[in-house]
Amino acid sequence: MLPLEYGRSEDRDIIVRDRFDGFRREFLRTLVNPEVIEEHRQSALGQHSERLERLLIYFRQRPLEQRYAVRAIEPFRRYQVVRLSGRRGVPPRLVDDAIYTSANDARHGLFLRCIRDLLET
Amino acid sequence: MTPVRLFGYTDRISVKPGETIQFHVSAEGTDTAEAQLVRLVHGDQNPAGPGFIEEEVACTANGRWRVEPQFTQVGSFLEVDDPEGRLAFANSFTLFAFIHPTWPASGERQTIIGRWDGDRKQGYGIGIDEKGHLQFWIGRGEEIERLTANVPLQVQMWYFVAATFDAETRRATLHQVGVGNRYNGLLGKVALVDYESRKSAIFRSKPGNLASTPFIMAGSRSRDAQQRACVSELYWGKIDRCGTFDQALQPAELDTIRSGLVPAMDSLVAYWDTSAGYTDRGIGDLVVDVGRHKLNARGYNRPVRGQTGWNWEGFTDCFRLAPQEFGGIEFHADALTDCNWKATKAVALPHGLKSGCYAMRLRSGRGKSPSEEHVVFFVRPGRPRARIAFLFPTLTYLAFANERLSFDHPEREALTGQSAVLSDIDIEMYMRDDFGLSTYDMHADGNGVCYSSYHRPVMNMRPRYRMPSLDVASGLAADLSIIAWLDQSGFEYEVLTDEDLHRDGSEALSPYACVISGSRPEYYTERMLDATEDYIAGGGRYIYAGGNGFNATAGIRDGEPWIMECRRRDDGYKPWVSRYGEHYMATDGMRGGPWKVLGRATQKLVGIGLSSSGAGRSEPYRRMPDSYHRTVSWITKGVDGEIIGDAGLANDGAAGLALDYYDRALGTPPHTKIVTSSGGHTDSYVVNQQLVLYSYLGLYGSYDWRVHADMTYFTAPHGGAVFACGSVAFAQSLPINNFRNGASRVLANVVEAFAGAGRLPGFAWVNEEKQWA
Amino acid sequence: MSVDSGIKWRNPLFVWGGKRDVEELATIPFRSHQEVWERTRRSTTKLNPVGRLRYYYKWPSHGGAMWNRLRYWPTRRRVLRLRGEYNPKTLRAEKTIVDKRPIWWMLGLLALAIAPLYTPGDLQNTLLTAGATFGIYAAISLCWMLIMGTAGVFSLATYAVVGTAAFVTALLAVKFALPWWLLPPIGAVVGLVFGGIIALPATRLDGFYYALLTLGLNELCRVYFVTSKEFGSANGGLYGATTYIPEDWSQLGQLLLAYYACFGLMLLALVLYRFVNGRRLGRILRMAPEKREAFAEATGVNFRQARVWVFLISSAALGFIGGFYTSNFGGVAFSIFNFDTVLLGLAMLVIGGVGRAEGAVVGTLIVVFFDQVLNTWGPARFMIIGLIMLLVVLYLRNGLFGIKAQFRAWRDKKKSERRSTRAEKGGEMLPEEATETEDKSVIYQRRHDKMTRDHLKTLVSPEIIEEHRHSLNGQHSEALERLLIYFRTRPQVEKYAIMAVERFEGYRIVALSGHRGVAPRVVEDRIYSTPDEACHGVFMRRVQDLLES
Repeated sequence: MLPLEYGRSEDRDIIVRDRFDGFRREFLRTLVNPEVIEEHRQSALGQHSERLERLLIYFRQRPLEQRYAVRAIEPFRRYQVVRLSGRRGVPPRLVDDAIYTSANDARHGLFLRCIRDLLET
Repeated sequence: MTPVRLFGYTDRISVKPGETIQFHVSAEGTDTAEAQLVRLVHGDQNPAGPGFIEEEVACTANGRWRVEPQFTQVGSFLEVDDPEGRLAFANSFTLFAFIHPTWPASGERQTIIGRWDGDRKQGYGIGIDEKGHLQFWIGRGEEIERLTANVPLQVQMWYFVAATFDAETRRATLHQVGVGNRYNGLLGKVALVDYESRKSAIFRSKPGNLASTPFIMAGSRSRDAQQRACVSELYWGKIDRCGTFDQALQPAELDTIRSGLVPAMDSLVAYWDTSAGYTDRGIGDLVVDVGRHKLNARGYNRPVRGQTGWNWEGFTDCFRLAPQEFGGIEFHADALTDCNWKATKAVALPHGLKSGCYAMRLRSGRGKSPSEEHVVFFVRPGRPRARIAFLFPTLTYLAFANERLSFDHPEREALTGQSAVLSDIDIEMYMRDDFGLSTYDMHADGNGVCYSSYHRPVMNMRPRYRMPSLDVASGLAADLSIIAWLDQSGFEYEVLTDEDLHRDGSEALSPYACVISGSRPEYYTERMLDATEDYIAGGGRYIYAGGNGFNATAGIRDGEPWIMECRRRDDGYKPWVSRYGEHYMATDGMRGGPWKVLGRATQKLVGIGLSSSGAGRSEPYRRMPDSYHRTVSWITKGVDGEIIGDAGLANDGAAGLALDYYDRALGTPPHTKIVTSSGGHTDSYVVNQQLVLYSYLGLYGSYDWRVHADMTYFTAPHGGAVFACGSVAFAQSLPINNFRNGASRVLANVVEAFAGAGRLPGFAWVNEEKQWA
Repeated sequence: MSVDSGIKWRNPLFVWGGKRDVEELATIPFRSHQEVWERTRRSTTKLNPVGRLRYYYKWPSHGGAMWNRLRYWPTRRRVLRLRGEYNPKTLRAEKTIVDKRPIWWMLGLLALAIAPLYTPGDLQNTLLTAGATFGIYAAISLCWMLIMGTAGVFSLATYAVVGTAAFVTALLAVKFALPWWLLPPIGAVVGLVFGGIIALPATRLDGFYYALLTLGLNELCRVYFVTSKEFGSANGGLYGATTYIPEDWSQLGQLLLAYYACFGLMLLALVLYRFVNGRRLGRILRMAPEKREAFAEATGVNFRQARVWVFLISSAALGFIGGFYTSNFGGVAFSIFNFDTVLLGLAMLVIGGVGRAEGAVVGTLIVVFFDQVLNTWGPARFMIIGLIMLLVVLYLRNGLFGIKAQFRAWRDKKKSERRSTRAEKGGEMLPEEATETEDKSVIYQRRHDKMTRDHLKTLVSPEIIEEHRHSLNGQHSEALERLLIYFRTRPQVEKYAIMAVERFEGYRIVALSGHRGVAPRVVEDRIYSTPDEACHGVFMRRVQDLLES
C-alpha cells in the first residue's frame, strides 16, 4: 500500500476515474425524481429499487474528503450532518445547522445533500 | 480553559477478587477525578432495550483521585544499550544500513540510525530530510552540518546506505545504492530509475557527544514541551542489517558490505544482525549486536520483526525457512503498543466481588460537559463455582481497539451500505494520535497495523459505545446484552476473557458445564482454538452466541497478553493485506489470515461459519422443519409461532451484521441439525469472500441462498454439545420487550439444559424413524 | 399488466454513447423480494413432531479393541450378522444386528429342549406325546419345505413317500425281525427309489398338473396299502416292528426318550435344510425363481439338475423319517395316507410361510398344538386350523414370517400417500422429509428457492420479455436481471443450453443432464436460425417453467 497521503497529482488513475465518474454523474442525474427521494425517506436502509441503489452506490464510493457522515450529538435524540476531512487529525466539518431527531432522518438529510451535490456538479 | 478530559487503562484486564489492579489515568483540564467502581450490566443505550445499566460497588478506592496529564511516546524504534558510550564517536566513523523507506516524503525529518539529540543539536545521524532525500548530519551544539543525497529515496525500495566521516580530513561521504531485486520492492527492473547517489564534502567540525544521548534506530532523542526526554524524527520503513565502524571505510569496503559480507575488522564497533535470534515460535523485541561489544538494541512500541529483508529472493515466504532473508524490521511513527503512563492508583479489589465486567468510573468537571470515563476490566472468579461461564472475546475487542474505519477506509461505507454515524469520542479519537490504531487501520504510510494493545485507552471497549460505520453497539457494549440477559434470567454465571483462555488453555473452561461465547468472537490464537475444541470434545457444552467467530488468526507473546498480533492474507474480509513473505506472525510463528485456509474452518468447531456480512437491516429467524425433531424440539419449546427474533437492538432483527451458515463441505459435523434459519436479507449482505471462487452478478442477499444465518445444534463426545446462534445481532435481540421474546426463550431453554447436570434433553430420540407421514 | 405502465428503466450505459444502447425502456414497478419473506409467517401445513425413542440398549462400537468374529464350524458363516454404523442422530458408532433369527432359533430350540421339565403333571402324557409327534412332523415339514420352497416343486406326495417307507420298513422288520436301527437307513433307500420315480415327471410338468399327479399318487398308495393283506388291511395298519424304546422303562421314561429322539430328528432335518437350502444347491435355485427359469437357464444356471438333486435328497430324508416313524411307533397306520393328513401338512407350511425353515417349524407347532393338545375340542379344532389358514392366505403375502416385510411395505405406501397430500409442490420440506435429508442445507435451499420463485413470478411481464428479446447481452433492467441471475444460478441438472446443429445456421435447445457421461437431452424439435433467437427461446422456456412451478 502506498502512504495514505501520497502525491496523487502524478497518479494517472485519477484521470480515468474522473472520466468514469463524469459519465456516471451525467446518467445518475437523470435518475433523480420525487419517487426516488420518497423511497429513500421511507426506507433508508432497506432493500432499494435499482434507481435508488445506483445513486446510493455512487455516493458510497465518493472519495473520503467528499463524503458526508452523521454526527450523533446525543444518541437517539439529536443528530446532524457533517462532511469528512479525509485527513487524519482533521475533524469533520459541519455542513449546516439542521438538527435531526433520529439517525434515519439525518441519513435522509445527508442523502438530500448528496443529491444536491450531484445535481450541482 | 481546556475542556476536561479523562482517559485510562489498566495493567491487566482479567483479575480475581482480592487482587490488585493498577489504573493508569491521564487527565486534561483537571487534577482530580471522582472514582467509583461499577459493575456493568447493560451497555446499549438503544431505547428499545433497557438502556445503559451500571451498578455501583463498594470499594476502598472509591472517592477522589489525584490525576495528571501523562506523556505518551508514540512511534516504534530501537534503543541501543550502550552504557560505556562506545558509540559516542569522537573521531572517524562509518554508519551503514539496509533500508526500505515506506514514506520518505512524509514532510518530516526521519532518523534512520544515529546518536543524535535534535533538541541540543549534538551527535550524528543518518536519515531522511523533509523532502525525502537521504541525509548525513553531525552537530556540536550550535550548528548542524549536513550532507544530502542527489535524488530522493524511492518509496518501498531497498537501499544500501552508508555515511563515513574521517576525523583527520573532516571528509564526510554519503552513499546510497539501490539493492532491489525482482521480489523485494515496489518497482521492477523495467522502471527506469537510477537509485544510486554518492556525495562527499568537508565538514568544519567533528560531532559532539552528550553522555545522555542514546543510539537509536528509527528515531532520535528530542524533548517535548515540558522538556521531557522523548524520541522524535521517527522513521517510516524497514531497516535491515546495520552497523558502525570507528574508522572511515573506503568505497571498496562499503561495496563488500553491500554484497552481504561484513568484514571482520577490528574497527567494527557494532553489527546488528537483525535476523539473529529468530525461533520457529516467534521473535522477541531484542535486536542482537553480533560484534564484540554486544550492544544490543531493544524495541519500543514493538517494531514489526520477521519482515522481508533486502536480500529476500522471494522463494521462501516465511522467516522460519530462511531467517537470513527476513532481517527486515518495520517501523512506524504512529505505532503504539504501550502508553507507559505512570500508575495513578493501585486498587485492591474487594474479596467478595461477584465475577463480571467492571469499570472504574472516573468523573470530573462540572456544568454542562462533565467528563466521564469507564476504565473497563473483567473479574474472573477466585475459584470457579458456577456452572455457566461467559467468555468475553477480549482478543476481538483488541483487534478492533480504537478503529477509525469510518474516517480512513474509503471502502467502509460501500461495505456497510450506510453512512457513518459519528459520536464525539470518534471524532476526538480521530484527531489525536496518542491512542494508537487498531488492526483494522493502516499506519499513515499505508501499511496495515499488525499490533494492538490494551495498555492504552481503548475507547470502543466502553459501555454505550456505538460502532460508527454500523451505528449499532458492538464489541463490549453488545456483549453486555448477554450479561444483562443472564442477570435477568437468574442464571448463576462467572466470566472469563480470551486472555485466560490463551493462558490456561482448556483448563480455563473445564470447570464449567456450559460456556457462552460473545457475539463476535472473531480472533483466536491457536492455543485458544485448541482449548475450545478440547473443551467441547471433552464433554463441554458450548453456546456460540454470535457470528463471524473463530475466523481470524491472532498471536499473543507469552508474558505480554496486552499485545495481540494480526497478519492479514488470503480470502477473508480484510481492510488491508500483508505483503507476500510477511504473513507469518512474529509473536508465535503461526501463519496469519483466516483459520479456514489453515484447514480449521469454523464449521469444524461449532457447526457453522461466516456466510455473509452486511448492515442496515436485520431479519428474523424462521423455524426449520428439523426443529420438529424431538432431539431438538426442546430448544424452541415455549416459542410462539415460527418467527424468532423479529426485533432487536441491532437493526431490529436477530439475524444481522454477520451471518454464519451450515456447510458440510467445510466440516459441519454430519449430525448437526438446523433449528432455525433467517432469510430475505437485503443486497447489503454479500456472500463471504471466502466462499466465492468467482465474483459474478448476484452474490447478494436477495439472490444468493448462502446469505442467511443458521441456528444449529449438535451433540459432542462425552455428553458435550454445541448450540450456535448464527448471527452477531442475535445477542442484541435478547433485551427486547424486557427480555421476554422468542430469542430469549430459545437461549434460556438451551442454557438451562446445558447447565443441568443430567443428560441433554432429547438424547433418547435417536432411533431410526419409522415414519407414517 | 399493461405494456405501458409509465415506469421507465433508464440505461446507465447510454451516456457512454454506445450505438446499441437505448436510452430508456418501459418496465414494471419495483417490488422488494422481502415482501414474500415478510408475508410468510408460518407454514401452510401442520408440522408434526418427529423422532423415535431409543427404548433398548444398543452396543457401542469399540474401535480400539480387537473384535474376534466367531464362525459356525465348519462354515464361513458368522454367529451373528452385525452391521457397524454411525447413528445419524448422534454420530455414535453402534452395532446393529442385521439378522436376529439365530437368536430366536437358539431361544426356541432351548425352550423345546427344556420344555419337558416344565410340563404340568396332569397334561404330561398328552404334551410329551404331542411333542414327539411335533418333532416328526416338523422334520417332515422341513423336508417338504425343501421340495416346495427351495426346489419349487409342488409335490403333494410327501406323505406318500413317508408312508411307503414306513410300511415297507415295518413289513421288513416284522418279516425278518430287523433291529430298530436298521429301519431308518432302509427307509431312506425306499424314499430314494420312490423319489427317483416321481422326480421324472417333476422336470416336465407344470406346478398345478404336478400337484394333481402327486395327489393322485398319494391316493394310489393309500388304496394299495389299505387293500394289501400283507400290509395289514384287516387291522388298520401294520404293527409289531422293533422299537428303540425299551419296554422295561417307566411310561414317563419312554415318553421322554421318544420326545428327545423326535426332537433330535427335527434337529437333523434342520441341519439338512440348512445344508441344502443355504449352500450351493439352494443358491442355484434361488437364482431361478418361478417364472424366470428360462432366463436363469439362458445364463447358464442348470436349475433342473439342482431341482432333481434337492428332490432326491429330500425324498431320501423323508424315507429316513418313515423308517424312524416305524421304529418309534413300532409300526404305522393307514391314516398317514389320508387326505386330511396331506391337508394338515400343507397347512403347516402355509401358515408359517413357504420358503423358510422357521415357517415350517412354527407352522407345524401351531397345527400340532391344535390337533394333538386341544383334542378335547373335537372337530372344532380343524375348523380353527382351516380358519387360520384361510386368514393367512387371504391377508398375508408370505405366511406369519412375511408379516414384517409386508407391514413395512404398507407403511411406506401410507407414508408417501400422506406426504403427497400434505406437501406443496416445490415447497418447503416437512419435518419427516427433513429428517431423512442428510445434508441439511438442502432444506434451506428449498425454502430459499420457493421464496425466490414466489417473488420472481411477480416480475414476469410483457415489458420484461420484450426487453429480453431486444437486448440479450446488454445492460438489463433490475427485474430482468433478477430473472436472469436466478436462471443462471440453477443447478446443472436439466439446465437449458443451446446446441449448434450447424454453426451459424441452426441451433436447438437442449437440457443438460448434470451427470458425467450422460449427453444433453433434446427438449424440442424447433431449430432456431441464430444463437440469439435460441437464447431468447431458452429464456421463454425458463419463464414458462418458473410460472408453472
